[in-house]
Amino acid sequence: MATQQTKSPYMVSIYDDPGVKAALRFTFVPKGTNDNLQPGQVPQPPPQYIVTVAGHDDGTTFTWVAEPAKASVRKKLEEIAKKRVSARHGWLAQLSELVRKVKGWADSLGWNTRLTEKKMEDHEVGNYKAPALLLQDDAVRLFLEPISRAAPGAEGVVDLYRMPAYDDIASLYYYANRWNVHYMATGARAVGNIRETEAKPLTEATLKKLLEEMKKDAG
Amino acid sequence: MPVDREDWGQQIKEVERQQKTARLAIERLRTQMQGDASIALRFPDARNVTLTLQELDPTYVIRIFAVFENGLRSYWNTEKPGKKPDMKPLMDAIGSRRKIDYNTLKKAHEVRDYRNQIVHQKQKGEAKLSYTLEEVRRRLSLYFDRLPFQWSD
Repeated sequence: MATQQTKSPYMVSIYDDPGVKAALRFTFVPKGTNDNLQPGQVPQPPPQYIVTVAGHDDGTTFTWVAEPAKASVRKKLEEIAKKRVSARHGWLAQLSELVRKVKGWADSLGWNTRLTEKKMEDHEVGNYKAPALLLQDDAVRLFLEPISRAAPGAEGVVDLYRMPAYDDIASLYYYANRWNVHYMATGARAVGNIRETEAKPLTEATLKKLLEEMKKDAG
Repeated sequence: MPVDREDWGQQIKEVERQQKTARLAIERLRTQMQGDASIALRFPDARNVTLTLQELDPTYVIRIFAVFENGLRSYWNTEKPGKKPDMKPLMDAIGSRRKIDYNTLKKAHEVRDYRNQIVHQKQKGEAKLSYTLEEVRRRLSLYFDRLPFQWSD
């Protein structure tokens, strides 16, 4: 279960719906229910609004388990849920496309590839399994690992490591409507702005050059 | 429940990632403080910035080793349920069972010694050990990679 901790009038918990496949269950708890208690007043348990959410974007459907009395509140909560499931779907689709593309290029270059999954925790969109990719050619083994759905300056972060030591090779950031490869120099200091590091758009040619460098470094 | 070796490997890497974020934040604070003396007056805790930076790697070495240890014990519990040996014999036993080469085992033990030096504040032998977190991650990951792809916890 993922619990949102950012500023919002509600605490939002998101987890896989126990009864509906591929759906998420949202629980909304209003904050500050007992903030204005008068002396002698007994605190009341805050209400919990629970809804099963399936689909995404315009196809999002809501099945209320415990709905708020006010239609305006229900509408607001549905907007929050729709935004989050849509963000989750968009990110997973973007990631799947990246992994599919890299796998295809690597396969055509003669690398062995294997799809795998990584468990991700995300306060905004709930926990999920993200696609990841292992690549191997002779003794060179690489791992393409999703890191984050969002980061300052980017809408997605994926790292590429040399295995088995998890040595950093490059980070892929999604911005300007494309994936961009930022190369890591050994011992390089972290920078505040990712766009300050050397970067190239991710293309088949970029990947090919990178994979060739990895093989050359391996000796 | 099946446990993937890669899950543990990723957790080890995640600790290094967090350390880099912390280092960036602290270094930026230090730079800001050099240009603005009032920061230390307004935020007394910021005065510890230099010491915090010095202790950053050792602090995260302890964390990363804890993840490594938990991963080893998760695996070892499938081989010898309920047994909880100390880390040295545990690493040796796994090394023997998984046929880990001498160099990889030795380097991982050196990290264990370093971690113990930090925790117990005493050094083994004459030389005081010191490794970057990157080197620690590297050595522990190379050792951990010799575990099976998957085991049941």
